[in-house]
Amino acid sequence: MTATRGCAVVTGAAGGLGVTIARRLAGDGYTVLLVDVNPAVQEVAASMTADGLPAVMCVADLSDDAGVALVADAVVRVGEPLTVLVNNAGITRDARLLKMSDADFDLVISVNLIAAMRLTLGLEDLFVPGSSVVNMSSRAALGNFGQANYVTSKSALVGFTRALAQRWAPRVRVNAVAPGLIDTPMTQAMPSDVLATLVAKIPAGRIGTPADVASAVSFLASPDAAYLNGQVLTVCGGRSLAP
Amino acid sequence: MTVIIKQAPAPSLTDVATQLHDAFVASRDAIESAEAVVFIANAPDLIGQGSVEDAAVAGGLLGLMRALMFEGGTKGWHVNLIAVDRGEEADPELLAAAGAVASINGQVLNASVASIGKVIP
Repeated sequence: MTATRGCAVVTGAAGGLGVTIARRLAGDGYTVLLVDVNPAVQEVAASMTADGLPAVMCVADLSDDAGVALVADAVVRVGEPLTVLVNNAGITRDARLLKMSDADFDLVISVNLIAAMRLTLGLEDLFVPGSSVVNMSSRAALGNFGQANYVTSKSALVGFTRALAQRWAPRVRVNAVAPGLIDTPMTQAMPSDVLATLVAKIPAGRIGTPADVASAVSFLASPDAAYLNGQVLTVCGGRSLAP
Repeated sequence: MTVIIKQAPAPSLTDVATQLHDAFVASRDAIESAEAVVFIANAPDLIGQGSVEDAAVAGGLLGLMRALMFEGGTKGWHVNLIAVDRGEEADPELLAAAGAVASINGQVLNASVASIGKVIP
């Protein structure tokens, strides 16, 4: 179990997508620091360790600077240079516009956007040259029904990505991944006929998997993407182009 | 009538959240009142040439416009976003068109000379 690529921080690491990303990065050779407000992240870390994957965890609420400080301390304790940050944590609070509450709009902005910005900026001094930040946007940033809060947050995250890429270049690269319909507990909870209708609109002919997203994250994090900066990689099976 | 929601400088993360909140409330109220909504954002911020906070606000306004169009395009909601150069005002004729011409809906109307050759999301 020898990590050679440094420390990779993954937020939202207790969720299905976060777990897959964390496992992929660990397999790539990073020591992964799993971050989540959900204490279940401890079990994820234990499971990875049991499988021989280098992982440690940090339970932190990133809604304030204290949470960021916890993560920074955890990175230092890892004892390896910080080379990757994946801002994966995110939530939905869907509602039609006229029924969407101010509180639900603000909460989604706070978790999906402000917390990611706060953590990234708060870790600035820990990144070493050649590091990579990957922000989890969404194909929904191009528009989606009943998700004014989510779409706003994910589109704003693209703006943050583009500006930070220019501000931190050439020391740190900053890119985003925009997943389309992915097989997660959220989509599994959809009525089967609704899901089938959505999948039928995907040129790839299938729903995306968490591994599809993790592959994109792995690529953007890696030196193979050394000349990619400020970009959004849309992982949607072609859905963002189809009628 | 057209409700205009214009990007303002956001020096802090709190300002980012506040501006997006205010834009959401104003656009929701406008839609409820059957009014058109025109967002005005700085093209350099959409491209990411300014501060990270201003870029987040510009990107957020763009996303909000698209979300409104996605949900209400078939219900008669009318929303657009005009991208202008920093410090510039939107041309009055363009502004009028953005709020009234039925075939111009859910669009980014780029009035920024400085953004030529750059990628606007």
